[in-house]
Amino acid sequence: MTPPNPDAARPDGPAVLIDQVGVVFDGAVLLVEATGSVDPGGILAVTGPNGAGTTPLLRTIARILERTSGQVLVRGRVPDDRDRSFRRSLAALIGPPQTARDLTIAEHLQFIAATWGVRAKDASTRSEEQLAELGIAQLGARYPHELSSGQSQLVAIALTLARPFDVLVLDEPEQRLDPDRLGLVMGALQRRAQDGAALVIASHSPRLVQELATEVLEIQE
Amino acid sequence: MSSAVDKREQRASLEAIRSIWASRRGARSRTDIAYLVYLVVLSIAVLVIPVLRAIGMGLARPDVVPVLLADAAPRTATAVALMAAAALLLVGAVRGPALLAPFFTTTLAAGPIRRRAVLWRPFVRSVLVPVTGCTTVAALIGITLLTVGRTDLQAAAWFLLASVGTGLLQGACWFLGELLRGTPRRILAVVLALLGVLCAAVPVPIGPGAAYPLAGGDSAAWAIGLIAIGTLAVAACVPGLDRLRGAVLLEQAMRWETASTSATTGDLTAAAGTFRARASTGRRLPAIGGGPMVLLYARRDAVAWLRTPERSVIGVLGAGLSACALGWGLLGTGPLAWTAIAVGTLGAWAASSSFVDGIRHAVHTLGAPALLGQSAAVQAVLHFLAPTLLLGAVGALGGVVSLWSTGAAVGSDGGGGAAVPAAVLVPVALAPVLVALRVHAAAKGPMPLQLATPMPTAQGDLSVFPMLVWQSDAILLALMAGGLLAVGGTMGALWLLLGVVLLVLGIVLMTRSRFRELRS
Repeated sequence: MTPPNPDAARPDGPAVLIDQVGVVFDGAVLLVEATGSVDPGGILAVTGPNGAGTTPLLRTIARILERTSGQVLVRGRVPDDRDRSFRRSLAALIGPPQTARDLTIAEHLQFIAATWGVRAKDASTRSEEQLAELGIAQLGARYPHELSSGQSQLVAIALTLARPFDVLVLDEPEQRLDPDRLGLVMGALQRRAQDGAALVIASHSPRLVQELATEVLEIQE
Repeated sequence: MSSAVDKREQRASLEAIRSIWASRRGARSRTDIAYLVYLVVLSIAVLVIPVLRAIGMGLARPDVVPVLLADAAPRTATAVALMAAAALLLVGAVRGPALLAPFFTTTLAAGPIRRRAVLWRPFVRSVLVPVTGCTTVAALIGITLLTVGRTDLQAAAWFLLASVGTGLLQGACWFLGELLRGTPRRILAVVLALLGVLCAAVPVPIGPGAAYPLAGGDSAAWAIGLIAIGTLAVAACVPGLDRLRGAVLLEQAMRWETASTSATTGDLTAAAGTFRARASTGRRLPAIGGGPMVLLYARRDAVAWLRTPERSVIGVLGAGLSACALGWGLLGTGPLAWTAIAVGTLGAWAASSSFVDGIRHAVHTLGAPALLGQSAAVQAVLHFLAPTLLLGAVGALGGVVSLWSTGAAVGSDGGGGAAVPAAVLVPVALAPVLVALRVHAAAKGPMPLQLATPMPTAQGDLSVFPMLVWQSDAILLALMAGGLLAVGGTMGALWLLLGVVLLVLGIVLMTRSRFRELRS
């Protein structure tokens, strides 16, 4: 189990609220407007053609990118990565994660858990479970530079799931995955939602959207 | 018969390639090449020789000449040459002398043409690097000793010739580093390094040391012998170019091109990063353990070092030797002492690179969605402990060795006064400052565009100077820190401590603003 979040008891309401959010960066319109929300335990699928602004929207939720208009609230708060409780609340996979070149995959999972206060022994057990959950137990002893492209994607998802969160933001988790692996990933995400996490997933996979989403936010170009 | 046909076909193919290459846009014409040769010859005659002569005469000082006249000087010259050969052998594994651009590696070196036909030119150009290095040092020693009248022109000339031979032999070692696989390469490097140690201990000089301007006797024989052996060794390398593996050539070519691109665009950190060894061993070592957070990070760092053993060993040796150089510098006076302090500081800065991957990883997490429970700044602080302790301990050891070696060479009163503790304390004090500087260097963003704004003056475009300062700020800061701590060290332990505190605080403040810029 993940350690309890001291800030878990936020006011009632959606876990993520997106209200008429628009993003203009250096004169370029990255996102015209998007509105939607997801409650704890729900899965919001963000869809749209390439260039519609799905990734900028996710970046805005994770506060990597600043919105130009509208409002984003994560558990009732304006996202701010300097805010520890926000960092504790939100996990995101937008682009490849920063891996350490000298830790194995299993150690990455253990280290991430340990930095969030999980005891070393428990972190070790959890890392084995997480690797098994995504069918990549055999990759535990590898270094990040020893993975194939599809394996890197599975490992990136495993690393993101290794830390605690109330809100999980994923950008196209289906990338480079075969149908079987995609099924495993979808199962893992479904379980996180059943445990009470709110998920926001940008995806071009009709299967993923159809089988997982409780809400769909379609962004127009 | 078929071999003759092969050779004819190869020659025709090469001629066709050369003709196409020569007709490309921006290719150098014969006139351009002639002008280039003229420029090089003129620069050597008008600039290099007078500058070398001026430096050599400037070194003819009472605190430099005794070092060059010391009994151990000839055999030290041989030992240094052998150590440099061992280092070049290891360097050959990451950047060998026979290297083409990736495009030519995939088109020419991977084609039907013999590799030596396309690789000999870059090989010969590369060999000129150690030859130039050796001859420069030999020329400086010769000029200095000539200035004080302790040698004659003939002896200095033989030493210069011997240094050319030594440079050629070092070039051959560099090539062997590119050719050999891991284990034989490491064994040969260790053998050369041990030979260096042996030569330093044996009183009868051999090799370049035997042609040292003071050695007398067989200088001429040694110089001619070294030139002959060096030429033969380089000539023997040329057929060996055919034996170079394609995968090695391509990997090195791509790495070198990435590094060159990063360096020319001002990103020296990224350039250095391309040569950083990746973990390949020790995956069963327990990197993650219990205990407080600071211990979790320290243990993870320490185990990570064991996973790149070659790099870590080189780092520890480099840090130790640099601390020795710092110690020697603090025990001496004059330009040699300051050179030793500068070399020691720069060496310690370079060596610290092997132990701060944790810090680099912490900085890279800036601006990315959080995976770890600590912010990038807190991670950097937690990663601070392990490299500081290691570099401090190795620094102390190196300082003690410098004391011991100086005492052995010049008697028990080799240092004296405040310099004795300073020789040990300054390398230790430098450790936290260098690690803090590593955080500062890791958080360096791309070069601001305004630095590239042309600054036209009567003497030409001066915008190159701010760009150079920006690119080398870490090295300049390290040198400044080394200099300040050396001065503080001679004033006493309290001053030294104060210096460390002020320097670390200053670096932390500068790093904070870099963190803010990267986050925004």
